[in-house]
Parts: sequence; C-alpha cells; structure tokens
Amino acid sequence: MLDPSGRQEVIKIMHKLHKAGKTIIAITHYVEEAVTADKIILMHQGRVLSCGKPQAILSNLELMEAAELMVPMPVRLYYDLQQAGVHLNRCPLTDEELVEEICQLRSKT
Amino acid sequence: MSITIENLSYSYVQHSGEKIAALKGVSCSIEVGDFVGIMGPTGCGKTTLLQLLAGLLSPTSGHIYLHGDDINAKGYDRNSLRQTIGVLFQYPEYQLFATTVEKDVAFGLKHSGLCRDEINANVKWALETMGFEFEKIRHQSPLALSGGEKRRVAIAGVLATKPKILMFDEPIAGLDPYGRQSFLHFITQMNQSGTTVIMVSHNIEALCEYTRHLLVLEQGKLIDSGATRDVFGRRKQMASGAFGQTEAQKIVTMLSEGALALSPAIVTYDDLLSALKQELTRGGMG
Repeated sequence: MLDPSGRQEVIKIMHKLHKAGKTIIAITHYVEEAVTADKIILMHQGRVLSCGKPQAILSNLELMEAAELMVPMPVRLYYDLQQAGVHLNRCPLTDEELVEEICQLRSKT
Repeated sequence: MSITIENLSYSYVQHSGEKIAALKGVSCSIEVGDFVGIMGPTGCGKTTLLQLLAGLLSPTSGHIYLHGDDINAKGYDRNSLRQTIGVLFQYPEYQLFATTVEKDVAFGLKHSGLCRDEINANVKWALETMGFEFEKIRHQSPLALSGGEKRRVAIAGVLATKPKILMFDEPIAGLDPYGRQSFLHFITQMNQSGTTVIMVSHNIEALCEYTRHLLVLEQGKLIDSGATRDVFGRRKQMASGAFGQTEAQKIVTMLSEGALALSPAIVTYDDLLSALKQELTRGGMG
C-alpha cells in the first residue's frame, strides 16, 4: 500500500515512460488516476461497459454508478452546484479545471 | 475502557546492527467509545504503535495503560488483553488458513473459554454482520472466495471475539469505492454501538469524514493530535506541505490563489459545497 506521495511518484514514472513512447495500460479503481489517460475502458463484472475519452466517461454519473465507481470530486461538485442553480461552463475532471471554471464564472458577473 | 499512552518509545535493531527508533516518546490518551484515526507518511511508526497497543511488541521505554493497568507489567493478564482488543492488520485476507470459513472465523475463540454453542453463535453473528448468509458460506474454503469476500471473512474472525476495542491497519486499502464505503459505514455502526475504533489509514478523505479524533505521526513522533476537524484545520498551516490535506482544502487553497477567498475552516466536501453555493448564487454575489 502506497501513501499519497508514493502513489504520485508511481504516476509520475508512468507519465515519463509514456512520454518516452511507451504504451501504458494501467488498471485502477482510483478514478483520479484515470483522468489523464488518453482512453478509458470501463469494466464491470467481466463486461466492457464503455470505452472512450475520460471526459465522456468520468462525467457520466449513470455509467459510473453502473460500474460501482465514484466520480471524481470536481464532477460531483459540478452536478451538486448545478442542482443549486450554479452552472459551470463545462464539467471539470480535475481540481485545476474546477478552479478555472469557478474563476471564469466569477469573472463573468 | 480508556487507553493512556505515556512517553512510549520503540527501537529495533537492523541486520547491520544499526538501531532504528520507530517511535519516540509518544504520549496521548484514547477515550472509551471514541473513533480515532492515526495518520502519517509511510514509515512514520503507525503500524508499530498499533502493534504496541495490541501487546504484540514490548516498548523500549514508556507505558501503555488499559483502564489504568500497565499492559506490559509483570503479571498482567495477557489473555484478557487479547479478548479486549481485536486487531486487523494490512491485507488480512492473506492470513486466512483454515479449510472452511466457519473454522477460520472460530479460530480466535479456541481458547476463549466459551462453550461450543456460544462459539457457534458468535461465528454466525460475525459472518452475518459482515453480510454473509451463514449457511451458504460456512463450509466454503476461504481461499476460493473473491478478494473482497476474503477480507470480510478476516474481519469476521476479529469480530467473533467481540472485542471492546477494534484496531484496523489500512482496512480500506485495495478495496473498490463501494467496498470502502460499506466498510466505513460498518465500523461507524460498530462505534455507535459502543466499540472503540482505532484506524490507521493513508486515506485522508476517510479519516476526515469518519473519525472523531486524530493522531498525526511523523518520523516516529506524535506531531499533532485532537479533534479531527481541528487537526485538519492546523494541517493546512503546517510546513510539511500537501500531506494530510483533504481535497476540499486543496481546492480552497487553489481558489484563494485565483482570487476567491473562502473560509479557511472548510475541511470536508459538504463544507466546500455549501461555501461555493453561497458564493456563486445570486445572494452570495451581491
């Protein structure tokens, strides 16, 4: 079991290998780790539920629930804010994107 | 039943002969019925502390008092300690060994002094508490179960002894999100029914949402302790950086750099959501 900084280190190494031209296939149920992938294959009980870009898969609440996974926190926040009448321009996957969206919304008003 | 830890230190000697101090002068107390989290980076002494509390290691110096009695004193009844404290170490599913689930769960009760009927009742209760149908699971080989099921069987083995204090070392590591959630709900229920729970975890969000008090270890020293919310509030100010901050706290920091100052008291997801709602709806913008 890695602590959060240990996990970050391994992820960095994977990205480095990817940049050097290696194809990376990573299996995880930490959705935050799948955010930076080029493509996600979402599986549940031996079946492929969906295959596509992180944005399309990780922001789809129904799909993620069917796979018994939690959406990343920024996605959850996006939908909870929407219910309260706050509409961000797009559904953010990362903390950075979330902050960007909130700042953009603030600057419009 | 309270636990008092007094100036507790533990050192071990490496193969090279070098002496390593794993715990250095830790003092704190844990009240009966509390839900305590222990956090800190890898190698900070969390597991050593748990092993000392369980009486599996003897301290190099210092004392652990359980209900006023020193558990390392000569003549202390170790058998009663085993019945009071239940410990689940990391990846307990690798420790299953019996030919059937029922035998595995009953193993800890072998020398408990309970009669066969009482043992059977405890085993049935523990397996049902962990979500199994007793008749379906009892004769199965634990080795043939899925990873999540194995872990639930291992937990049932600890529960069967009905300990007053439950200690978990990284209990949710490697579980999928639903497994994590249901385990955390389960230990919350155990805690609400009076069991003292001590949980070592790297999962900051779980510690933040579920524990009432926190102990923070770094390089063998207790660097902070107190009510969970207060500790997380202080972590934000600490120089040791990102470790120990919740995702909500990280977002608040990033937003303040982007010129939206939210309350520094925000710790959980719900705190952040309500602050953002207030800030971003019309009322908040006026």
